[in-house]
Amino acid sequence: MEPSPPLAGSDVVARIILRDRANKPIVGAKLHVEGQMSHPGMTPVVSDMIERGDGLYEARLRLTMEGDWTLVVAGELHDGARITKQLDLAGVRRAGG
Amino acid sequence: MSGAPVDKNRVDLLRLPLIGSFLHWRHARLALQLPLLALASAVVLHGLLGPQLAPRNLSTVLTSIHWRGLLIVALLAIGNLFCTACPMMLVRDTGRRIYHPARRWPRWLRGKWLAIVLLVAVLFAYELFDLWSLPRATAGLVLGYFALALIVDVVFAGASFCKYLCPIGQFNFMASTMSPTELHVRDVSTCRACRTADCIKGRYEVKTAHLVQRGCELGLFLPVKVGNIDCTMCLDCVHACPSDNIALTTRVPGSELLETRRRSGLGRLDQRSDLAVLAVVFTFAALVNAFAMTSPAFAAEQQLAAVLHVRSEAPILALIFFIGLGLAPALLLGAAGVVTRGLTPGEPALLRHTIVRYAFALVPVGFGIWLAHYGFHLLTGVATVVPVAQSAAIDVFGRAALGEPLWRWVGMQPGTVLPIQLGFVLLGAAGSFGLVHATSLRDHPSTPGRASIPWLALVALLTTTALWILSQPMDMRAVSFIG
Repeated sequence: MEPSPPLAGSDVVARIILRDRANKPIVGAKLHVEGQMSHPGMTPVVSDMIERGDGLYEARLRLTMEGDWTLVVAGELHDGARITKQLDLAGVRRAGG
Repeated sequence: MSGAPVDKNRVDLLRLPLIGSFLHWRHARLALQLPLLALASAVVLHGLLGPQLAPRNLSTVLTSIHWRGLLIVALLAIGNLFCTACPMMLVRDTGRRIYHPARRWPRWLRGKWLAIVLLVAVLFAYELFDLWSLPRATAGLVLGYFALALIVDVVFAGASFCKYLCPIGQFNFMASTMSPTELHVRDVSTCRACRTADCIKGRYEVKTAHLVQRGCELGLFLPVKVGNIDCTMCLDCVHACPSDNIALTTRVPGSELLETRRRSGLGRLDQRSDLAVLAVVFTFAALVNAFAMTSPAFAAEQQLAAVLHVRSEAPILALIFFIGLGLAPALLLGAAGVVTRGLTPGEPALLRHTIVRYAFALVPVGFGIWLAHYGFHLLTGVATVVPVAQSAAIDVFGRAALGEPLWRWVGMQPGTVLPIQLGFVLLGAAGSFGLVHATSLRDHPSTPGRASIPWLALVALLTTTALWILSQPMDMRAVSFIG
């Protein structure tokens, strides 16, 4: 995540590197990242991830409010296999908060 | 029998085409309960077996957004519809086919005190354990509710669980005083001529003495029933009355809170301290529950933890609940009562009586705050059930049987909902202002203005606090407390 820890109300960049069991970069995956709050029904932030090469995928998103967020990276690999990766971001605050 | 006759100008829903036919149908309640039982099953199964991320689980989404929101909307628009459709009673009735309850609920536990404790305990647990973020715990809570209702009602006769224990039921009973409909006898003279009282005793087959239709299990005798408190709108009385003498009429929401007539199953409202406390808890819990979602609440918790050198949330939250639901109401209502008595010399009642009489006037503003809070989640999250159901279908079938989850389907933007929320709170406040004045006209006819002053100030304070809370940035927490 950049910045780390991420701040509410400003853009953050989420990056993920995918590698297979042989540690080779996985290319051609179609991924998106969802930022979900701990409370259901809050507006999630959703962004498609852009492949940057060498297995690196990146998305820019804005965490809209303070609190506990969970990022879910989900999508399909080029062979159709589904992947889901979850990252908890507890206590996201605003800059100076 | 002192029940008032039905005003001919009011609409009787039981006389309307289609709606009336449906409600008169013997299996109307079952038809409403079965869909909720199916939804409760989905909540439990997905909560236990599905993903444990709250916004992706039907358990937390359906309970936190749709059930709470639709419950309060139904109370405002129609009546206590969710008690009518309560699936727990369906399970209970099935249990009673096997085991017939023989005991009566203990006399010393009759009243609302235990239910008030349970209601506060549920609200406290909701905040302490962040239940909105825990699908498995939500499923467990639902299962626990079903089990408790079943156990209590196969041991004790009548609707003991609904009347004396169910926290949701107590919330609904108090909120339903703001509903626009009420079950009521059509013609009191018909009841005077009645010799069977089927509406409360039930109807039995003459030869076999088998019960063919229940009467009111909550002890509300229709000819002297007043208002909606303790009425689950189960329609048993409608089906039991041999003279078709029961109506579901429209009325002015909140007007029953001014009624001082003796109520069947309840007694006089102004003599029921437990019901007055329930009304106060209902009102102040609306503020506490909404406040807990905001950034200032989180900051206050942090500051209290630092001052008290505590690293656990439980004692801090307990302190906030004690202040919000105990100390603050006691001081505010006590002060208002003292001022009213000071401004209206000759007032014969004890201070407690003054407070009890005015406490019910707070219910409308409390209802407005609950509506603003739960309505917010409903309006901003109403469509989330679609992607969550799509996601659940993937979990079950291993493929996108309902299509790829549309995670961008959420609902209205929070900013656009704020004016609606403000409207709900202000409408509630208007109702409370009106009830305060009407209470003063009733109890202090010579000095209604002076008697009202402290209570109007209290309603204004509650309203201002609610508006401040709604304007605060939200801070959705589930795992972090200290650091």
